[in-house]
Amino acid sequence: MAELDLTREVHGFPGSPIDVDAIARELSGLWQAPDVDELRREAVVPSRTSVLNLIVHATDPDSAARVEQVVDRLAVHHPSRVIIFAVSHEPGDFSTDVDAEVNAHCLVRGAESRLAPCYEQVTIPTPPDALPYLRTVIDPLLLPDLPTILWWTGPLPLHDRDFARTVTVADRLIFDSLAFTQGAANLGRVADLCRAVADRCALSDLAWTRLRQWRELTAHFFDIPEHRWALDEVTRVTVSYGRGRGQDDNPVEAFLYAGWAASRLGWQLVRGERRERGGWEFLVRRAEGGELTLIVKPVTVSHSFHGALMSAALAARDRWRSAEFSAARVGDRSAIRMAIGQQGRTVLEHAVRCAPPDLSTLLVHELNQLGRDRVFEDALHEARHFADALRLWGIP
Amino acid sequence: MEETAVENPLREGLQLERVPPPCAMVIFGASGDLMRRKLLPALYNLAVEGLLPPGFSVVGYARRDMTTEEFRARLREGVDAFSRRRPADPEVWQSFEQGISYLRGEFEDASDYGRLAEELARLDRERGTAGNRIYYLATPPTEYETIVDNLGAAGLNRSGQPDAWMRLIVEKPFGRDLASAMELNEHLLRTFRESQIYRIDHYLGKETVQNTLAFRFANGIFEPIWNRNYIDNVQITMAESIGIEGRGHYYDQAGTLRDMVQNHMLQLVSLIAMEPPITFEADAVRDEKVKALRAIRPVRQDQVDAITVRGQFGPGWIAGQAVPGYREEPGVDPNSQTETFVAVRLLIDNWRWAGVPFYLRSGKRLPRRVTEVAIEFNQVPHPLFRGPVAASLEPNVLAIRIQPDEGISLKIAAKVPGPQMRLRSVNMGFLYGTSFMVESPDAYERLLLDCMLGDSTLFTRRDETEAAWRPITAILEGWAEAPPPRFPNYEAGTWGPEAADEFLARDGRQWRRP
Repeated sequence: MAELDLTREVHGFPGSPIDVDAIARELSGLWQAPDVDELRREAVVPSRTSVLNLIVHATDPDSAARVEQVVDRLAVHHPSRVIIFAVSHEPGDFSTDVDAEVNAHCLVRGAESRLAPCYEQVTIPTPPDALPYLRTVIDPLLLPDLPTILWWTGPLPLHDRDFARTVTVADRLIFDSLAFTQGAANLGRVADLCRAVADRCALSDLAWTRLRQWRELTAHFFDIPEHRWALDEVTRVTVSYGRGRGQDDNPVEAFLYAGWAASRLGWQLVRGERRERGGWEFLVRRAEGGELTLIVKPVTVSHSFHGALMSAALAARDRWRSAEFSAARVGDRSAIRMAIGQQGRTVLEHAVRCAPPDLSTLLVHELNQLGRDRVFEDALHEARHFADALRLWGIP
Repeated sequence: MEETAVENPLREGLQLERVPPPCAMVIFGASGDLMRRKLLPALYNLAVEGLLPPGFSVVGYARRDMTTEEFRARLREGVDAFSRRRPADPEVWQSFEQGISYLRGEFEDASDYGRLAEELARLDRERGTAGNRIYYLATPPTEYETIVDNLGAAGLNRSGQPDAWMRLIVEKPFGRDLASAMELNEHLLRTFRESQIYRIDHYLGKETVQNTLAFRFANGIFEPIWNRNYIDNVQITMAESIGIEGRGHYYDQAGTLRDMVQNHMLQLVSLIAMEPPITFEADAVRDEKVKALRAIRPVRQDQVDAITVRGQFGPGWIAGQAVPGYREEPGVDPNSQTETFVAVRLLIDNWRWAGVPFYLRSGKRLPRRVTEVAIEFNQVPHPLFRGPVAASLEPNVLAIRIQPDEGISLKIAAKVPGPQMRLRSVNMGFLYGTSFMVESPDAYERLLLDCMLGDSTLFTRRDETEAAWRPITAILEGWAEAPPPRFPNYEAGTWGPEAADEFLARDGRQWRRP
């Protein structure tokens, strides 16, 4: 696949406001560039395609570089007008007189293809204290009548009122609560933000998106009518998450998974305590009466699985039968083995390929979402109960 | 649709609204190429994505002497070579192959079906397949009736379990003409009910074919103009640059009319021409497709020459490479009169389409592989722009590209920038693959999963196959009565015989260059 890259710099003056009109002019000018004419002469039609506006707030120069790579991969299949705010380290420091860089990127697929989809990207160097005026730069650069997605790569400034205002410029805010240093503690604040902006801006947590595979697999057990009874008779749930050596604990995925099960099955938290061997143990009341034990515990993993859900097991028992349903990462951890045990005997095993999704895959999934994800909101609401309860009870 | 949905509170908000219940799939002709290249890789891909139910099992049934281990090894090679998720993941394959077994058996030997019944009972006991069965006929069509009769005789078309279901998947071709299709249907219906029979035309499993339905019935702006008042003609092109690819024996008996037009192309015609169904359920959709097919104007034998052009390719060049003519292909009669190119004009006699010709064109060794449906709209009723101003102006064309570059384009007139009023046609394109990153599943994946779920929307119903055979049989009979054509009559690498261009020129039209 050949590629055509057109780049222009928009020059301003150090310290002066960003010249949004100049950026828009340069964007239009890209399409009159000689390289584009060259493509047309080869009977390839450059097709300026946008299915959405993607605004990225890259928290630091390193993450800005990573974002550009991800956006490149996204654009092959999901072309957008992309506006990247590349935040520099020093407040008010513009180390360059460049206001922005505008870029058009066209992909020419094989000899058979006569269409070259192109997308536009604007990269704006941004001081870290730009939050108060960020939305005034975003607004005029948006393509009209298309969904606008704001992807915030770092921890959300949940205490900042300007952040809440900036969020409402978008139809969806994407973030990753695994990026928070205190993921579980922040679940409550994210839930509050969700409640405050949900009517205008849907929320997507990539930690939740990673759970999609797990939710599918868990649901799979109970699609079998013979196992359906077990959902009403769960006695024990054990959820493990990865903790990389030397890294801060972040059980947010495990709490979201527990929150999901609780919200779907109508469970209510009764009490919780710290386990001696690490993690937490909760007593939970089932919707139909009866109680179950929910254990959330860390397992040591390599850096790349830090925070990731590693296994989930549900045990159920009634007067006549017992069963255990388990799913766990196995081998090089790119597959998940599912097993059903009855009366202490494994009756069925089943493995599915479930490599942890990379960032672009997660984003594509979220970019395809339109509207609110009520199941996530319910799960978040329940997960915050688990996390808040621990805090209220002074449990570390 | 048979009801297989299970209430599961954990499924809310998940991508899959339903997953199939545990079942066993018996594949007759399991030692063949279809199994190795298409069916098993498709099933494996479903397993990789977690779309198969736990306990799902495959029983391969064929004449070849082979152990289950050898069978599994052969299938593993197929997955490594042909799966879009190749090579096989060791963990997934290990658990998937536990559900695969092989049974050597004769198709006509009743006692072998007794052994099959025992194997299926074992799977029910050990893997919880609950008496649910799919029988897949991946054999030559000559074996269909024997297998189905023996399944019936062994009681394998009935289940001892109350909620269990039985389904039969039949591969194309469904007969060689209307009479043989009707005979086959009647034969199948002696053992299975119509609701249990899934006639597979893999073309309907293609994402972009299904997108045609979405395009027509999920967009309010097209329906008002989707009729004879606005549409001048419809052109459907299904071109292949490849030749016979080692299928000479089969192809020489079939020809393009049977191989492509009777099934794939008439499916596209029905999707374009059908009325909006009441619901998006199997029978509602198929009712409307059948009505459209039945409305095709009956073909009279004395008209066949006027409404068709047939061709056969001679030697030529494809993409800079010399290629042999059809008669030089292995397995082909050196004096073959089989057509490798067909152009047909069909008329649909109903209120929506009266007078709008549907031009169908399909051929082998054409310059490029392309499938598209082009809807050509009427010219404006009173042209304001004449002469050189509008010299290059063409009618509006809505092109639905099935492959490659799946998407939709609309040709519209626009003013060329400048001080003068000069117009030209420009294409406004939507490229399907640039908007959706989800890798399209293989057609067989979608269709096999649908069958497990009991959704027959994308399978052809008895009356549909028969309605599609009606005009095709009339054309075949007309050709049989006509003097033998002068073949070869087009060079490989061209867009078919010159007669095909003249054919449209007589109607004052020309083929689109897809």
